[in-house]
This record gives sequence, structure tokens and C-alpha cells, in this order.
Amino acid sequence: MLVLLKISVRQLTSRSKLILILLMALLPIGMAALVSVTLNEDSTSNGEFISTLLDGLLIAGILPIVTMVLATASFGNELEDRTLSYIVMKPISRWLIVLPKLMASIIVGGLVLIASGVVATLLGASSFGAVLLVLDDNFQAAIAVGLALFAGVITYAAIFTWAGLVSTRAIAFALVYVFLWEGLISSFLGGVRYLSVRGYTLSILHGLDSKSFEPLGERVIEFPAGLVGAAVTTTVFFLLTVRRLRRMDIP
Amino acid sequence: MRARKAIWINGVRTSLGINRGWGPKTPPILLFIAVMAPAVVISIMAVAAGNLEGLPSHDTYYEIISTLLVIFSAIIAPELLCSDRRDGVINLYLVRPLSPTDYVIGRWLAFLSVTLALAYLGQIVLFTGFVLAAEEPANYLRDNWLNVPRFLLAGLVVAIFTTTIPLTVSAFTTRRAYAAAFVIGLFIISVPVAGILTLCEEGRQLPIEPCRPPTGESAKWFALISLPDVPIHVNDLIFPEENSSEFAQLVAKLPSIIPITWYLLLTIGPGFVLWRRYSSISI
Amino acid sequence: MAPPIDVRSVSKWFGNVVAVNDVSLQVNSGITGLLGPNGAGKTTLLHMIAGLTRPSEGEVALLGEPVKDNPQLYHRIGFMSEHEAVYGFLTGREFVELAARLYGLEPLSLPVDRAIKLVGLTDVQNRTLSTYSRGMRQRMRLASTLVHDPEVLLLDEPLNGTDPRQRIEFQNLMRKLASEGRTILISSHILEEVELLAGSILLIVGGKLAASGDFRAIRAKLDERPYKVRIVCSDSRAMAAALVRLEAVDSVSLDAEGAVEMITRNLSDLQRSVPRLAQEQHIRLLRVEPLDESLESVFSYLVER
Repeated sequence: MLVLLKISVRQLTSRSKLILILLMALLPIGMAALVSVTLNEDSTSNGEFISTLLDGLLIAGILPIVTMVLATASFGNELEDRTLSYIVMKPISRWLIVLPKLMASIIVGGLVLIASGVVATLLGASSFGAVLLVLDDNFQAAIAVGLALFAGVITYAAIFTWAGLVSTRAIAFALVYVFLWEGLISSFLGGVRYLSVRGYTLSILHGLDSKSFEPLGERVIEFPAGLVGAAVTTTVFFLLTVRRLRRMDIP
Repeated sequence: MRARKAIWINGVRTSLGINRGWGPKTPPILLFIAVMAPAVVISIMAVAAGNLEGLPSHDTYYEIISTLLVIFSAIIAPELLCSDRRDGVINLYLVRPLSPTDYVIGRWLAFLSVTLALAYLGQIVLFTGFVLAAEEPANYLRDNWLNVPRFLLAGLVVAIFTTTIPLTVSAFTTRRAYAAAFVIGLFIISVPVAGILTLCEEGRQLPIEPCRPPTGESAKWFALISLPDVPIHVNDLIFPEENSSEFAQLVAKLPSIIPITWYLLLTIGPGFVLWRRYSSISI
Repeated sequence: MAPPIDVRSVSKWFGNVVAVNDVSLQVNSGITGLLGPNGAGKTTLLHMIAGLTRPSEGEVALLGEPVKDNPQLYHRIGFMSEHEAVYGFLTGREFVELAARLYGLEPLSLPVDRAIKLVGLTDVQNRTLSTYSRGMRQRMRLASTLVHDPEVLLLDEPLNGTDPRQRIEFQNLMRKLASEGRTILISSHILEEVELLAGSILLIVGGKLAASGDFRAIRAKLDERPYKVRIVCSDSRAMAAALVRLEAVDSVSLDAEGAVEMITRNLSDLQRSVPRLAQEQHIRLLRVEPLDESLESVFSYLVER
């Protein structure tokens, strides 16, 4: 399994991909730094920082995009390049093929996004420049952001890895899911948050540090619902991916 | 001429997934429904209420569907350009009496046609709904006929924008997925970035107090960063109604030439890059 | 004992298209050629035998075990697809090592060295695959297919991109492996090579098994099919005139070089008649050759049928 993990990570970390992902990850950090420098010293913009930078930019934007690029490529590129038979025609259980593929995108995406979120949060809360974020405990908040993002990466990765195996147009469906379902529709129909990875991620963030992220309180689902939702979604899509790999015709 | 027309027709068919399986058809169909839905819903609401008070109108329609149009473009534009280069089919096109310029213009026009059709259909539905909803349709038509050329022009502005940049991005990779993700990333992420840089200070009394961004006077420049809003700022110059969105309010402080120039830069620039990219292709 | 490859009433359809239609066959040890025109269903059939594609109907067994949902069987099977793509960022050696690791081979170096030596790429094994020529890539792919010493080898178009010298080396390698008791099924369009290599062939046409067995035996069984024979002699016109009177001869013509070409349904009759006629007419026979004993002609004939 380790050898498959290594290969998968190498496949996902081509130079151009890495550069783009790192640029995206630096964006929240850059934004936090820029605004904290330009903001007036005595102004606080807690709600704005959280909703625009953490939610709008990172959780609703960069998290799903980075994860979908990596996770759909795990199997998607193998299918497109017709190299899947090299892996599949080996005496390995199918779930031991899916797991390293999934883990590769979680590791690459997770490392990058967690670093981005944690550093941006700490920057926003630091006394360097204005304080964008008045946090109860800077480190607790930063850890909450890191863990919530990690949960988001895992859940999105499970869904998008499955999508990459099922369809050659995985990214199209991923984009429609993220920006239509989680973005547009959930702003009209609140119940959709129970079926949205963004909803789970925000709920976990708020649940881990409700004091610092109190402005989110009104629009997040309950913490247990978020945790269970993320866990169930990840498990279901992992099992679906294994099942798909077992049953599909390999090109 | 026939070759160019064939490229155009093929481009339209590829964009809409015509004559292909459900895989290529589903995203265009879903997105088409999503783009048309607001127009249909607003029209129904207007007819039901019997008046147009408080309802979004032609000037705000493109704002409502701009994200959807971007998603549509991000997904469909790579289908038009990436596959041909990946599979080597582009060489087949270019051994005919067809120059790379013909090819790329044909593709651009094809995609523009589809996007325009999407944009205009919604507006036509909206206009029809409003006419039907009016107490005296004839009077409504007489008083509001100018909206038609306005939304036609505004639609062209939006369509050219959402056609050119995605196609340019698609010209640089053979993997559709990466092109789509990059385009979406560019557009969607630019919105919160602009939002952060034009953050409003807390404690102001809405809606009376205007937003006082902490970035001060430069905020009106930072508002231009939001890509989906770039054609909207130009449209705000076409429609007489005031746009109450925060970005619009900020950009309104700039001389009109600025958003127009910015728009032209972001369409002609990428368009030129697209053309150069293809004219340097050798078989 | 069950044959190494046992295919029973296997069909595969994709929507309305039937790619493989009720095919039953058995493949024993040695080299068997799988032939058929494009779209005949060869690759689909091979994929089903390899377990990559599920049959819509029927069963496939390899080495006595069902191939479905049985990844452990892959310890004993080597498969090389027709797609030439590889992981370009790996070196040739890393590519073979990847396969060896996934097969659970321990230690790695011995089987990997051996496999790379078998295909003659020891000198370039540390270059990345993206720098290899097409033929080299094919050979390295073959090495990764052989690294675990499989009993059954399934090769789809293995000769793609190889030059004539490499093809000869490939043939020698295949003969060597087959002589060790392996079962080798090779799908190929290059009929001349299969003709030289394969003891028996399987002919797939339109998703059905059109013929199986020794190709010469197949040819002989096709009685209805007329034989084409060419005769070079000292007086073609006289020979032609004499031949046209025979019952056994369907038609006679003179080709561009002035030799006699004739079509007959009764080869044995002709074999007796031609020398007699030549003697009677005082014609010297220089050459008598069948024009369609090759696999190509059998193949074309069955395809047209």
C-alpha cells in the first residue's frame, strides 16, 4: 500500500499543479497580512474576517477547488491515460487500492490547506497590524480552523475520488455540486446545509471553538450533525468507490 | 468559408452535448435550467403579484446569473479546445484549408453564440413575464421598450467576458479538468478577495451609513478585482438604474472610463493571448 | 484437468452493441494467437479473460479458478494491455519494481534484474520512461508483465511499435517461455508474426468465434472455399487451355507476368492432373504454388463471409 501511496502522491504533485495549489494556499495568508496592515488600528472586523476570509475564501472557495483538482485526478488521470490496469491487475484487495489513492489527495491537499488556514488565522489574530480577529485563544482557534479544514478535505476527497472513478467529467459535476448545490441552493434552502460538506466544515469549526467563531452561530448546523455528516459521507463514498472499482470495466 | 462555418457548428454542438451521450449532455442541461430558473421564477412572481415592485429586473438579471454563466463557461470551454489538442485531432483540422486563426475564431464564435443564447433567453422570458404582468401591457411596452436594446448590449458584454477568459485558459492545458478548475478558481476566488480588501467596518448602521472600507480610498480600485463583476460594472453604465451592491457602489466612484478600460483589458488581452497561442501551433 | 484458460458461453454487450457474442473456447499451454479485424471484440474478450471486464453472460476461469472478484489469481497471470501509456516520471527500473512490489515479490532485485535482462534493457533501466522510444517502452512493459514469472500470459498487441529485430527477439522470448510450460495468448494484427509463433489461433469476427485450431487445418476444412493456384511454365496459354477443360477447375486466367492463375475446389484432383497435362502438352513446369495458404487469406476469407 505504501508503494501505491508514494506513486499516487508523485502523480498529484507535478510542478504545475503544485505551483497553482501553493498559490491558492498563499492567498488567504496574503489577504490576512495585507488587510491587517492596512486596517485602522482601532477597528475590529471579526464577523467580516470570519465570513469573508475563512468562510467565503477558504472554506467555500479554495478548499473545494484544491480538493477537487487533486481527488478527481487520483483515478481520473489513470482512467484518461489508460494506466489503471497496471494497478488493478495485481493481487491486492480493491480497498487497498482505493485507500492510498484517497490518502494521497488528503495528504497533499490537507497539508497545504491546513497550513494556509492556520497561518491566516494566526495572522489575523496577531497583534501585528490591526487585529482582525479577536479570539478567545489564538491557538485554539487556529487548531479549530486546521481540524475543520482537515475534516473538509477528507470528506470532499472521498466524494471527488469516487466522482473521478465514475465519470470522465468528474470536475464538471464537482463544480456543479459545490457552487450550485452548496453555494447557491443552500442559500435559499437552509436544510441543504445538512447535506453539504461546507455545512459540515463550518459546523465543526464553530463546534470546536464556538467563542471565537460565534458570528457563525446563526447559520451553522449543530456540531454533532456536522461530525456525523462528515463521517458518514466519507465512509459511504469510500465504500462506493471500492464497489465501483470492483464492478467497473477497466479500460 | 464552409470550413469556418463547420467549425462553428461543431463548436455549438460540442458545447451543448448534441449527438453525444448523457455524460456530455448533463452539465449543459443542468446549467441551462439553472440559468433560466431565475428568469422563470421572477416572471411567475410578477404575473402572480400583478406588479413588478421589489422584483429584480433586467439590470440585475445578469448579476444574478453571472456565477452560473461562469460555471457553465468553465465546464464547457475546455471541451471545445482541450480535447482536440489532447487527442491530436487539431492536426486534422489544420491540414485542411483552415488556419489556426480560423479554428480558434470559429470556436470562440461558437461558444459566444451559446452563451449569448443562454443570456438572452432568460431576458426574453423576463421581458415577456413583465409585459404579461403589467396592468396595461401596451403601455408597459411603450414605456420600457428601451430595455430590450439595453439587455441585448449588456448580454453581449457579459457573454464576451465569460467566453474569452475560459477559452484562453483552456488553450494552455490538455486536461479539461484543470482548465475548468483554474477558471472557476480565478473567478470565484476573486470575489472574496475583493471582498476582504473592501471590508466594511463593523458597527456601521445599515442601510443609512455607507460602507467605509478600512482600505480607504483605494477600496474602489480593489473592488475591480472581483472578476464576475467586471462586465456588471460596464452594464451599470448601460442601465439607468442604480446598482446597490457594495462593489458597484465603490466602482461608481471611479470615472466611467476605468471600468470600461478594465473590461477591455480583460477581454482583448486574453483574446490576443488565445489567438497567439493557436497561431504558433505547428502540425 | 481444467485447461489454463476456459471461457464458457461468454457474451458482452454495451447498451445495444454486442461486442462479444456467446463465445466458448479453451486455451492450453503453448502460444495461441487471437486474431480478428478491428472491432471484432478481441480486446473485449481478452479483457474479460483477464478479469478487467465483467462478462454480461457466461463464465471465465483461469487455471481452474473463476477470474471474477479474485485478485489473488493475479499472482499467476501477466497481462499487457494494448495501451502504451506508462508512468513517464518513473525510470524503467522503478516501473518494473512497482509491479514487483505490487505482486509482493521479496526480495525485489533478483526478479527485477532478470525481467529487465530478458527484454534487453539493462543498459537503459535508470532512464525515465518519458525518454524511451516506443519500442523500448513496449519492452519495459513486457518486463513488468513477466517479473513475477506468471503461468499465464495475456498480451494485447505486444508488437506495437517494435522494429523487425525486436520482433524476432520477442518471438524467441515467447518460444522460450512457452517451452517452459506457460500458456500464452497473444492478440495481434500482425498476421505474419502470429503465423510464425502461434501453434493455434482463435479467430474472432463480429464478436463470434469464427474458427479455432491450427490455421492450416482450418484452411483445409474450408472445403467450399476455392483454392487459388499459380503455375509458371514454358507455355502458359497452352497450359491454360488444357486446364480449363478439367472438371476440377473453376476458372483460369493469365496474370500480369504471364503465369497461369486458376481457381479450383478440388486440390487433390488438380495435384494429379497438372503433371499429367504438362506431360501431354510437352510443357515444362517451372513453379506451382498455392496463392492463399497464408493466414492472411484465411482471415480475409472468413471476414468476408
